[in-house]
Amino acid sequence: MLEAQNIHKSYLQGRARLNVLRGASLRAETGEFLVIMGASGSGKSTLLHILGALDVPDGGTVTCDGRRIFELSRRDRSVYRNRHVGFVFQFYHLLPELNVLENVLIPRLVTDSAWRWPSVRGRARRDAEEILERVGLTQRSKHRPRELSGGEMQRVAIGRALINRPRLLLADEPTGNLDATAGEGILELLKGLNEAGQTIVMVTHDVEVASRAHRRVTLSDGTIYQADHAGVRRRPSRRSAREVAP
Amino acid sequence: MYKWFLAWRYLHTKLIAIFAVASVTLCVAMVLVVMSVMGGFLDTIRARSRGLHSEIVLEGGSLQGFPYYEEFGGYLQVRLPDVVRLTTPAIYTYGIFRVPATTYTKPARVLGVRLDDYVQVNDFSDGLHYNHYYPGTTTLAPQRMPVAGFDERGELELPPELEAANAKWQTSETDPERIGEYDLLPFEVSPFPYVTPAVPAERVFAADTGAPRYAGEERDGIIVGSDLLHERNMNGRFERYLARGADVALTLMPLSPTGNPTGEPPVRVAMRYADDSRTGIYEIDSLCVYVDFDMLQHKLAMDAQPLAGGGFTKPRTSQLLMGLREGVGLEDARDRIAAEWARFQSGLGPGVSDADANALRFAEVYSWEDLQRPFIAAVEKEKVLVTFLFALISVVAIVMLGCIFYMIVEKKTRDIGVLKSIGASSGGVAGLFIGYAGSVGLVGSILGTLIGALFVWNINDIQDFLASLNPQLRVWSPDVYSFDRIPEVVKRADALWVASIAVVSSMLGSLIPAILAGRVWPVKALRYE
Repeated sequence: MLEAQNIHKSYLQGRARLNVLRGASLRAETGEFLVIMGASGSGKSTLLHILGALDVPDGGTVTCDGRRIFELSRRDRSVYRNRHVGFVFQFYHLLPELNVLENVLIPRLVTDSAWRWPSVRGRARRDAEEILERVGLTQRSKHRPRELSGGEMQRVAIGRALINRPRLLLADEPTGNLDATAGEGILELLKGLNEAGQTIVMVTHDVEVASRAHRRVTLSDGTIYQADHAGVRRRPSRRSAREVAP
Repeated sequence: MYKWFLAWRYLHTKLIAIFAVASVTLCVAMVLVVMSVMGGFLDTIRARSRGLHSEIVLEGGSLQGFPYYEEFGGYLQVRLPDVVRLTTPAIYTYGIFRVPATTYTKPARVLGVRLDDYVQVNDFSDGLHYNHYYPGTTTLAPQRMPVAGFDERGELELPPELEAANAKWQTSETDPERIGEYDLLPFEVSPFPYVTPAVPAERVFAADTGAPRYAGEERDGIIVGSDLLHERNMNGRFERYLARGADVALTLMPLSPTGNPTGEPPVRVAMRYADDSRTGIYEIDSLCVYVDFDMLQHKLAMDAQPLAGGGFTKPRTSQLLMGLREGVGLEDARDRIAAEWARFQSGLGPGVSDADANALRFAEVYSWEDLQRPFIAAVEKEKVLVTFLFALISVVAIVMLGCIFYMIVEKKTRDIGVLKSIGASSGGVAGLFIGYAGSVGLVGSILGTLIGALFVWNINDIQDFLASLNPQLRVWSPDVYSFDRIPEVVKRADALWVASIAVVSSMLGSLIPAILAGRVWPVKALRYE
């Protein structure tokens, strides 16, 4: 479903060029729960942003359902982010002026034009309410983000990511800013979504969190290492990611 | 859809947007007030200019005037009876107006008119002061001074003709303001400031303890421009310094048909102040006096003068004023009369003297619009200039709006990243902020239009209130602007125009911040704290 091949990305830090990704490759199958692990600053989030077309690699390709996303126009990449990808961030990134229901609805508002909106508004609202029920926030739909706990805010962020029924959910340290109980609730929610068929790629540095995934890979020195069941890292072969993927 | 949704939400949840709305509101209100007042000023001038002249004027173009005006008037009555209703000559010249026994001496533009006909070709009679309260009593013919006396009940009373005329007015007047004004009128006293040494102040009508009567010698009447002889107080009311019928003097300089001084000394004419005229145009009311046409023509040696070789010169006038029949188009009438004027001249034959032929050559036919065009055009330009200056000030508000939106974009950088992560395009994000600015402009324009309109509708009450606190706060001086009241009409087209420009300007002001917002790199934005 999703395949990244030989991704390179570097940043200028002052006068020095920092090579964050140096030929990283990975593949996620439909319905898979894949975790990318790595130390802080290893480039996990950068890779996730590239997978979601939020950032552009210096080299390499990302293919989603057979489409090379960086060969799309900027406008089509926006459509890709809107229809096919849902992002969940560590710091939730909810819009403070909107209430819970509106925060969940906002990607749908991006999808539909002002002319079309009146005809789809009812259905969009029902979808949002259904999602709020799934994430357990029906009673909080009129609340503003500042009135919610961290766990609740992250649930809203997950709801927002799901409203357009994306094929791919990208989660960047979704429990990194939560206490253990709230984090556990979020993981359970993600697990449940995955069991219902949602493809999830999650970034974390927490081994315990990573243990919930079907499969985990490690990003180190800008390259993806596959991990076996015991967590021992194997160097990637020179073959393509398709060939090294289990 | 998110653009409209978020723009509206930002508009009523962000405090900073209120400042942006306030700046647009103030600018719209300011420009609308200026446009309305200046526009009203222009409309009033235009309306009053219409009533100043006759509809069509045959203008001599020089002070020595042109001959054959009576003949041409008769010719028109024959040739264009369905176009021209009335013709009447008018002379204009310059002179010195003086109130005897005082230091009051002023230059004056002197108009010689046949009053009975003159009031039929324009709105002159509407501005005659005494003629309003004593209808039919104003004349330029020789007259004496009315003096009020006491009746048997011990009350001041004017001569019977004036009392009868006033009684007629009292039964017909319905305007309460006019009636209130009259209550202050007949014997109001104001000290005349130019008298040296100080003498007891004159009254509007002279009065003594005898019977009501007419006093003094018969002298030609003169109507004086209201701002030439009197002064308006801070309330816009005239302080009248001279009693009706008082002696005044006019000094004139006769010119020969060639336009040179005749060599005779200037002519001093003793006259009686018959009335004052108010056209509403300060430049006219502060300069013009009106006397009888035939008297002025004679004093200026413009009437038939004996020639050395026998015979007489043709009498001359400065203008021939023409009133048109109902429903006749102004420009069409002007063109037809001009054609008749050319035909009339060519039919005069070889008997015309060189001086007369020369004077005729410069006489041309104009409509009142032609004559007033330079003046109206100047006021129009002034309106455009003032509106432009205030619009220029509004540019500051647009720049300020740009700054406010730059701050908003800076503050919303992370949200922009979020929007891009959920699929908003760069153009969409830019559109969101332009829409936001448009909403600010729209709300500001609506509020500004309301405030501006309310201000204009009540501008005179506001000024009166301010003047009641401190007379120095009266900003609209009737002395300068001709009109007692500040124009208080807001045109819908003006309001719509100003509001539309404000909305577009607001959007333009936000353009740079909006483009910057659209170019925000989402990954950077999401890391922005």
